[in-house]
Amino acid sequence: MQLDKCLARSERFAWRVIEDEAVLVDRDEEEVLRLNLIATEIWQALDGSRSIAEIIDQIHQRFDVDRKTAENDVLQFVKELVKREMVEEPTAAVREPRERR
Amino acid sequence: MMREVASAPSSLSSSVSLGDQDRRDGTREAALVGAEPIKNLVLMEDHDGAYYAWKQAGLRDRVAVHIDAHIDFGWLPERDLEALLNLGTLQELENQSSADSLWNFTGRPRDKLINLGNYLNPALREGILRSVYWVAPDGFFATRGRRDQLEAMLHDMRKANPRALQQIAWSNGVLQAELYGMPLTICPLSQIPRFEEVILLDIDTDFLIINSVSPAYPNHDHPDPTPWTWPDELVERLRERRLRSDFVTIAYSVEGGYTPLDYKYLADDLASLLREPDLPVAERRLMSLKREAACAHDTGKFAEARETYERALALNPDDASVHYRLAQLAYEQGQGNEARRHYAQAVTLDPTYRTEYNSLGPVYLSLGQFTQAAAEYRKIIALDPQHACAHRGLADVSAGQGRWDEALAHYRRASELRPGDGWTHLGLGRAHVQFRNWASAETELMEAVRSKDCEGAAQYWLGYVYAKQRRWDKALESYKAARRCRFRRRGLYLALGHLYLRKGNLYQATRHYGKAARLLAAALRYRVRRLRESARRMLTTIRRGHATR
Repeated sequence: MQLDKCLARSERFAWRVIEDEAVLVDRDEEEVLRLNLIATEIWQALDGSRSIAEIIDQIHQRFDVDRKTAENDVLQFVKELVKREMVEEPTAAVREPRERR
Repeated sequence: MMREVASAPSSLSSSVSLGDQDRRDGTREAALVGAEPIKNLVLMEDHDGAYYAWKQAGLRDRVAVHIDAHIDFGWLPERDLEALLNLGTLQELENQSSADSLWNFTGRPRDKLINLGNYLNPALREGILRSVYWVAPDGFFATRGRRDQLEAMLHDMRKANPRALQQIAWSNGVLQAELYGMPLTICPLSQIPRFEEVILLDIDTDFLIINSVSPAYPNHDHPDPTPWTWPDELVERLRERRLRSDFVTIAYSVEGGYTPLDYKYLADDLASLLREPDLPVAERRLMSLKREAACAHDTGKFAEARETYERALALNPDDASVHYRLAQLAYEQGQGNEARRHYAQAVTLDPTYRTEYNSLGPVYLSLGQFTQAAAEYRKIIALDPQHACAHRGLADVSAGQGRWDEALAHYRRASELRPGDGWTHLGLGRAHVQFRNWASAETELMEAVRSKDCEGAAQYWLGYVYAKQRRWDKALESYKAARRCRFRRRGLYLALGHLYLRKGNLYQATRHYGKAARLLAAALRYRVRRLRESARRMLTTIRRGHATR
């Protein structure tokens, strides 16, 4: 995966962070998903404006892990999101985050 | 049990509205059904109008006697999925997830999901009703097999929502259960108890028509040509049960229901008899003549039927139902001009006689009985050459038989008569697909999508058109749009599986092939069940044959 790539969360999800965990409602698949703390941080960062490399840096700094570990974790998780079509290439105009507050 | 607070009448979205004479404070005069005039009686086309009428009338905590060939208690989602996002803690989320609720994944507000097949559900949940007696036609209880089918229907319902439907058991010829903790009783009219309290009487006209519970409830009800009982008989039986009611709802159930248009007038007769038990002799005579004529007509005694209908017309020249039946009688006897004259009069007197459901075409079509369906649609076209729905129905028949040239011509005619009809555009699109006219197919299917009438099916076929043109990304988008419209077909999941495989997304490909396989398994289980039921019915018939020999 190219580290300079920007990805955005798919619009088919409604989501919100409850007690540091993201709760995702997948309207198409009729599923509710919960993300752990690190996954939630990555999910929130996937707003279409930040590159994968920037997100890796963010995880590296926020969770006090070495950069290699952060890169592995982020890439593994993002690949899973791509596979499940939970993220997509952003359109020309960067989408606004859809988190409900 | 959670109950929702009923919203104000002004928020109702229904075609039913109470007249000025109908009291709305939830208290009204009760009358002995069939013996005293019922003052509050609401007639409606779709039976879910009863829910809105009760709500508008401010009724609460009542017992409903639901006289119908269908239970009308489909499940409704109890919770909006997105409400999960408004929870404050993860513990609350855990509690909600384990509550085994039906979640609303449709994205539509729950009140928009109420229909004629489930309106008793919100009426119970919102506290309008506290108990339902479903009075099913006598034939539903006639044999052990039919009683088993009734019970099986409840068990099928239970599978979808085990927590909400419990305690299913027979007791003295009556099937009982608990719905959301409230009593549901299924019984023939002869078994309803002597109520101490004033009840809500809720009648569907198809109760008079359908007398056998079908194994594939509710899609394969066979339209019996002649009612098994008539309004005066039903009212007399209700009078004998000494029911007291202060609010009666009656549904015609022609449009998308199971009452043939031929017998829509039975609802009006029923209403007249309940509103005015001492109906003038002339009106009772008219009802009686219509019954005699219908019985003669349905048994092929055309001359007798015609003569009796003429006598009925002499009593009331403006009776649309008689003109409508005379139109059909004339058509069957090859008298085209007279048929068209009576049809035109019927439609002028009552415009609801010009409807998509003014023949059994849609019913036969859904049963795959193409010859009978075509005959029905041809009859309507002979009576009314400008009838767009009949042309479209005939096109659907031709399509079903694989005669796509004919189908295309009929769809084009339907489109001329009613431009912008989504179903016609869908048919045109599918016809163009058969001839590999991809550009025309795309144009028509896009129109069908825009109409919103049949968006899911139109998106599916659009995906097919794109896939045939190797426009893979567009195909994937359309198929996904079809899935979002809840168009759940094996073919759709297979197509999505193929496209994901082509993209190298094995995860999504496997998921969709899996869904296709599960649908195939469900279809096979359904077929096996139908075969077993059919074999059981044959066995019963053979046994009965031996017994009578």
